[in-house]
Amino acid sequence: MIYSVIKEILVAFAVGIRNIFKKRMTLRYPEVKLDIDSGYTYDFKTDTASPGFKGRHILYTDKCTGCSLCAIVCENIADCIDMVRVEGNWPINERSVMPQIDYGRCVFCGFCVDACPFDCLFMTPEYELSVTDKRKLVHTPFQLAVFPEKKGTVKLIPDKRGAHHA
Amino acid sequence: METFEDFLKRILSIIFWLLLLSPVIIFPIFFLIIPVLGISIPTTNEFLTALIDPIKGIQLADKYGVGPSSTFFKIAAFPGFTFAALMATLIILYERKLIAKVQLRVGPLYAGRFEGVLQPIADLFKLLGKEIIVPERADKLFFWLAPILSIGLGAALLAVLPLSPNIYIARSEVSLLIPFAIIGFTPLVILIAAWASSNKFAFIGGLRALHQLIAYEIPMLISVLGVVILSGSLDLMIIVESQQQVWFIIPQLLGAIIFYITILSELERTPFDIPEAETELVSGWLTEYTGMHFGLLQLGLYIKFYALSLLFTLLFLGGWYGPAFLPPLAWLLIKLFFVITVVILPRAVMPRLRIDQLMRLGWVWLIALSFINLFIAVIEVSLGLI
Repeated sequence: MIYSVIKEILVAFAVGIRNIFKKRMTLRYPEVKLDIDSGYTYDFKTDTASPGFKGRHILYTDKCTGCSLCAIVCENIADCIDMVRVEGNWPINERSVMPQIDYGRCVFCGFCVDACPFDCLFMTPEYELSVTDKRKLVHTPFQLAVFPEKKGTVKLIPDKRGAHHA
Repeated sequence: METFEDFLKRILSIIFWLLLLSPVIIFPIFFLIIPVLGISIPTTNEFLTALIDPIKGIQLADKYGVGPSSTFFKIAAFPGFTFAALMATLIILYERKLIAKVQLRVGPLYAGRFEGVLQPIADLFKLLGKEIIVPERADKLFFWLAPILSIGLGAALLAVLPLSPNIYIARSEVSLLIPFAIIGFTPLVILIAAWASSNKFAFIGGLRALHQLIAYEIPMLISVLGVVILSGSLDLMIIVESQQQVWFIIPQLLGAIIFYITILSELERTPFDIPEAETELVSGWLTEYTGMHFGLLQLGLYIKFYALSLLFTLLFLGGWYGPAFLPPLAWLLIKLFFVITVVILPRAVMPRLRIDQLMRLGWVWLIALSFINLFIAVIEVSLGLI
């Protein structure tokens, strides 16, 4: 019994010393930002989801019909999507209502993307959503329609023992 | 955004202007007050030359009895308090970096251009900027006394520890016993700090520290007796000199291991950190201390860390002996670095012991093993192996 105790102590030391020489994979965030390829998307016709980062939504305003399915599916999860009236002339959107998302409540589950039957609501890799005024967390349809700019500088490269940045 | 370097630059510029303007205040004192008292002072010329020319400065300091060869310099600067405090701050930085590396983190990073090397200075400024809060029901005198006693005890350990044949503060025939006598006072300081805080967490932590330190002092002293038997002296200088052929860690491996474990316990480090177990007692007997009070207590603990590592190097690793291509002091510092690494490592990889396990290990196992180690030493001497 005492040999096993001594052996375990020595093994702990050995693991600790081995760890010293391993490469760190800490991302030094404010200076270095991760470049993520794609956001979460869902193809309604073939019923398949593509893996991707669940960040801020993007809304294709020309495809949206104002069916409110995203707001209905969100009701019992975060209740963050409201259908609001937007100005302008929308041929396929008779009532001119489009989703407005409150990111103070959103849990980024992606169900609204699954629910959208017209392929107009997807998610983007943008994750820097913090603001100093909580009213600015509510993104209007026109804010959602903006495609996010690329800020990432390094890529996550998967390898045999996990992943590293480069 | 102001970086830490800008902050340092600002502080340095303030010091520069103060120094530049100081003659306005100092020179009237020199020329009006000191001549009246009749003390011989350096002339302005001498003083200003000494500020610029280091050699002249050393000569001037020698003239007034504070030069590099004087006892005052030895006690205050090298190898005394300032050197030990510097080593303590380096140990703090090294500990944080090493534990971060072991746990696959990065550690301090932003203070200083390279890997956070200025982090101890940043910590110092942070601690200096904090308010010192004294609890309402604290015993004020002892509450203020504990940090001073802590740092005093840490520094007192250095008095007889030599760094090389020429570099030492004091030499005594029983210089091995003096550190142990001083370590014996540590429980008292901890009890003063714990009791004066009048906080239940601090008091429980203090009592735990008391149990632990008293239990581990005995095997510590007995494990060293083997070295004393082998070298035949209590003088650290002679103990180191008798390791010229073979370091005592080889004939006294068991003693070295016991001494190492007791060092961990005396320094209250993991796995023996039950006096300041963060998950149970907020911060143990340090709970109520804030600001520079806390800084002084920590500095005292880390000076003790340095002193005990140095003692291990002197007793078991042959002190300053090594191949001749490096000076003795360099060998000593290399060995010290190794010992410090080994003492830090358990904190990164080990869990904390329970108090009954700790007591059993101390009173049953370590004392028995240290007596066995003593017999091994006696057998080695009687067979003439050493």
